[in-house]
Amino acid sequence: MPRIRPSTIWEAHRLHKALPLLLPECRAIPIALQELQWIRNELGDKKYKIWKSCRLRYHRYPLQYILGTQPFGPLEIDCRPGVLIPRWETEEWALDLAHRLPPDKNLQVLDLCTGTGCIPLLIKRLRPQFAVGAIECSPVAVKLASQNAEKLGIHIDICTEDVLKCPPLPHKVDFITCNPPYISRSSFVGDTAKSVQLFEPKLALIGSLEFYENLCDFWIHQIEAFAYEVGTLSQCRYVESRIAADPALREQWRVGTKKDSNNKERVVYGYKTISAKGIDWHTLFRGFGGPTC
Amino acid sequence: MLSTLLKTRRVFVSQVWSRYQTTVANVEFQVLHPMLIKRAEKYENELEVLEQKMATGAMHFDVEREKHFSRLSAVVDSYRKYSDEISTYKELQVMMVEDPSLRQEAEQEMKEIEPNLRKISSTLLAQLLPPHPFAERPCILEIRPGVGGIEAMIFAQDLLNMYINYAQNKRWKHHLISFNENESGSGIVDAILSMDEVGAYDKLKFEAGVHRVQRIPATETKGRTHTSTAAVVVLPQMAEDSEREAENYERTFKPDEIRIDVMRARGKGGQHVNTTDSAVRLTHYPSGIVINMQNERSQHKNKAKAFAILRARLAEIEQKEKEENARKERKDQVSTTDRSDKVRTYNFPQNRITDHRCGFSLHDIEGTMAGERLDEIIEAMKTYDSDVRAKQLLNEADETTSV
Repeated sequence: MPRIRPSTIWEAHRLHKALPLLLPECRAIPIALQELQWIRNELGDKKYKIWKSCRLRYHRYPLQYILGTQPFGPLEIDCRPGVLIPRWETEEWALDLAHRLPPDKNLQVLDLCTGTGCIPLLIKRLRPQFAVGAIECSPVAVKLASQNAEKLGIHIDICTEDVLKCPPLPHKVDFITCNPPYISRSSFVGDTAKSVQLFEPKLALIGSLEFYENLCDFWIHQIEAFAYEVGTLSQCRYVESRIAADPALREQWRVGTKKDSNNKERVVYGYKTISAKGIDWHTLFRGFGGPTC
Repeated sequence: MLSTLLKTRRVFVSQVWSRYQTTVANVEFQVLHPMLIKRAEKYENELEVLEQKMATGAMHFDVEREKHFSRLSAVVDSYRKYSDEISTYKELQVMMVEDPSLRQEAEQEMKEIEPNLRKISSTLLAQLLPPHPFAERPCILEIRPGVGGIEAMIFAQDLLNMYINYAQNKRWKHHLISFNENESGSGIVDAILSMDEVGAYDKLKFEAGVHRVQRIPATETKGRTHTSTAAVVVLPQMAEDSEREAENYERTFKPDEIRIDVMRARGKGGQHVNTTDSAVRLTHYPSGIVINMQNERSQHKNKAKAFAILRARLAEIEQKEKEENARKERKDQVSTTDRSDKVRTYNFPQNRITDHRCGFSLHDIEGTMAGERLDEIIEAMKTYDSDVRAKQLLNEADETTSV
């Protein structure tokens, strides 16, 4: 990353006294100005508050925690320290997916590792017919997700369970979405932004294959389709190879990968070719992603 | 003789006083063309028939017909007013010729009713001409600085303020869709203002074009007058810039027609970074339109706004094409009132605003920039436009009858 030139810092200082504090995170003056504008819009014009926020920002504290919210599709999701901030990549695929799901069917959707509850809330908002549930192991996140559901007036069932411990399901589930921790311990130090490393919960970030393993071992036998967010191509490959290795699964399942707008592998999804619910998963997922390459 | 008179007047009347006079090219009042009158009469007959039918209750309620009815009655109403006034006017004219003793009184009375007559005549004329297809729409104003560097940016900001003030004066609902300041914060790089009032497009459509300013800029150290410009684009608002509208609209495009770029973070993305940058760039390949949106924290909202702008621009292009084709069919070279290069000059030292299309000058910069007297310029432009269109219509009619 190129250093910030002193002249840029001076120029920022001329525009607003607190602006140089935003530069380490924003890198450029236009973006810093935009962020300052957002801070002003949300927190009002109180000088002390703005200064305090910029100081926090200087120490790489995430803007979403300062402002307390993050837009997620049409929703405004509350964010709090200790819970992962919804990413735009998640927003992108979740929106695309939610629009593909048939609005007239009565699907049972379950979101694992829900965090703020952004994905299930979005699906329930766009497809009110569905029964949507969420599972989360962190009590802080469960509390926040319930708060979000209440604030937005959307009803979803949230329960505190550990996904990896294969909890018993109260009812049948058709479709599973999940944004599991997928940053490997080795790349957490090198490839992850400072702000994420320092202030976001490691519980929601660090993981390698355990959730995908858990998917292939346990969840896949109870559902008709799934969509898991991934960090690298190897995680997609892992899921695909596990399904290909099992003769029973290989017959029933099709697997694909979706890339995000940044051209990175972002979602691994799979569906049963024959659906008990009478949903044509194949046409539903057409154009969503492609075969893993 | 006249020039000497003017010169002497200048000696006596202080300069400042003369600056606050608004001048309009004083044209002799013209009676509406018989063909237009005939058209109005046709409307009157139609209204009568319709009224009779409605009175008997033979027809069911129909929204379209109700609209048509209200428009007809508006036209007929002003036509009746017009014919009342014009008959008095004509009587006075006759009186003037026949009875020289009453000449002076008649003249005075004519002078009194003339402004009113002019007003009625121009409203009637505007009503008789076919309405613009987007007349009922709200509108979107895009303002960008032209030549002139920082001063142009400052002027663009002034223009933006003028339109916001104008909307406030009229109590129109309005909001800024996008607003990008320049780095020093003294002017704007671009701004998009939405006027959410029904019929705003009809009012503001003549604002489109290049606006020129002549003044001593704040950035000037030697006191020289500079000329800079800013461009205003007026688009009809085809739908609200809500997210749902945008999604529906997005689906009307083929995937290879549009491209949506988001901020491309380096590195792995996903959980690895938490970016706050939500800028969206929308490219429409067939027309080559590129729209940048970055003001909202939500990428989704930025996208919705970008699509609303795209929709408006495409509608505008389509309309311009239609007009162009119609003009080609007529094979005439009538100068158009829209898109001409320089539409208006704001001369600060002379305290004057001149619209170059209709030759109207208003000597009140402050009032206009505060949005209070912008209406006068718009009205003048509207009258001019309906005159031109009426002439065009009559020319066409002449051609068809002569062939």
